[in-house]
Amino acid sequence: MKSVQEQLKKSLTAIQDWEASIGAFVEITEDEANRQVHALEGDAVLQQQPLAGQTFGIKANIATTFGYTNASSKILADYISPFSATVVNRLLSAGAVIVGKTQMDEFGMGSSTENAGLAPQTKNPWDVTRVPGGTSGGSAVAVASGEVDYALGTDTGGSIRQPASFCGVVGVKPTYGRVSRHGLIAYGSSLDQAGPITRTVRESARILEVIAGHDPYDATSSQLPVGKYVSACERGIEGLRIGVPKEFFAEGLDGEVATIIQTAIDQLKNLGAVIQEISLPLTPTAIAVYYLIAKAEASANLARYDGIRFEVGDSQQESLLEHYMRIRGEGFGEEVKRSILMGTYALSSGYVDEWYGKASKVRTLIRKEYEQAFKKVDVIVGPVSPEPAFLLGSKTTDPLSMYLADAYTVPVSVAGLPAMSVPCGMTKNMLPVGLQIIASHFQEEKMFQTASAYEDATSWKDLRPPLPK
Amino acid sequence: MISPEEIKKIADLARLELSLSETSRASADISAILEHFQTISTINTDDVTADTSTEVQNVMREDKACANILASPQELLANTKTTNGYVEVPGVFANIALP
Repeated sequence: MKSVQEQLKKSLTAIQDWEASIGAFVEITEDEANRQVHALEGDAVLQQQPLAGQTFGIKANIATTFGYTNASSKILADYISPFSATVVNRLLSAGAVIVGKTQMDEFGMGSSTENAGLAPQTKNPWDVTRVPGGTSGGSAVAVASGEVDYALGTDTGGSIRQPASFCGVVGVKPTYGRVSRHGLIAYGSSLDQAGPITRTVRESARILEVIAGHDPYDATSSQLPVGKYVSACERGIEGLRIGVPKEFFAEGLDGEVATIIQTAIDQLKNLGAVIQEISLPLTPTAIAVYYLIAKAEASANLARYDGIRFEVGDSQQESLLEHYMRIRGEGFGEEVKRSILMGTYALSSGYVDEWYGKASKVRTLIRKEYEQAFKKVDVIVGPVSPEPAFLLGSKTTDPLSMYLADAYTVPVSVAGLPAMSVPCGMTKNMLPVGLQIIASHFQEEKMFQTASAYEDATSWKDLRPPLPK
Repeated sequence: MISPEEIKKIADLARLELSLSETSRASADISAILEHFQTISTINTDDVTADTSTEVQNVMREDKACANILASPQELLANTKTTNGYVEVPGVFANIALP
């Protein structure tokens, strides 16, 4: 059994080996990690906690009192949070050792970690010419490479599941309200959730048990008791009803990914599950619904970044309005500005009913469509992404094509459902593919039950990317 | 669909200073995106109310000062320029130099 000191050393060594090639971290918080190790060594009770000595990367949009909390944006580059997020405090109480803040698309906007406002450019450890996925790209590569044991990401429209899929690791988006959002830099307040990224399903289950649960600081957090996710992993799936939406296999899905996903579904059937095709006809509308709502909420959430309250802007002779315009024009990246513009437009007088209002109503219909489906099935499975990790730069000039790649993750977010990605294969180019498993509201146990049965029957979890030359 | 002039108006509302090329790019990009999103207008939403994303409602607490505070006033103001505990902001009217 490694000592906590050795576990931290293993992490820091892996970072030395990998970081130059994959750029997982915006910041390594080594001094703080050493302090946490020291605290653990002197505390026998803390040493007994479920995550004692385990090393973590924390996505840069999750508040920590140590290091910077900047959501990888220039407008918050040196911001030090006066408090830590509830999820961070819960990890620390469980004995976790936090090694650094992981890279992301700025403010959570993007699908590839190519929109980071700060250095470095994160790369997929399986092929460094390709994206790690986003927006929790840094967290996914830090776990896939072994730089850390686990990481926390956030998922608004797929930002945990998709990078987990692209990097061959497990990623979980809990039900909306399952995990506290207190201390998360808000992107879409009706969508955001923090969740674990790990190598195995059981590890994610264990971490979710630690971070989930009601928080008086988050009025949208649920009072429902936290489920028994770890023991759910032992249930097996004999007789479990699994729905496969035909709309997830329509035009746009890469042929190789489709084959890999179908093979995984066949494996679930071999394990005793009952597979049935279902239909979710509103699936093609979900991207529009998601982006209109997310960008509208973002335009409101990002209005607070004024260069005064959260960051001292450089002082110039200018009026207050000029100051706002300049600081925000300079401090936000292109995708963030585009997002704010679209969101502001969708909420503006004369347009709000047509865009934001309409999207909010279709959202209700999407949610109801899933509720109907879950009357006939226990979980729903399908691909996470229509394609495996794409080449760096291949979608950056076409924002719409980047949005369309979120087709299978956004409907889940819009409906507030829990979902996870579990590795289920490799393409002929040795790129990971993830299987998405979706459960009904607050039914994460069924999701873990399915993922775990699949993982136990396969060996994808044993694959490791080789160190890039 | 959304002209560069309309983009400029929205940018002003959102307090974003954009260059001319940013404005024209945003006009092209957002127009293309919204054209694609128009499909939602074909969905029948008669008698449908907007989703609330959560079942929790009216979450209240007692109107009483909390024993545990998240951070002291000093910690909260640490990321802000202050003078005598007051937050410094540029003057509302142009070009007022602070002493």
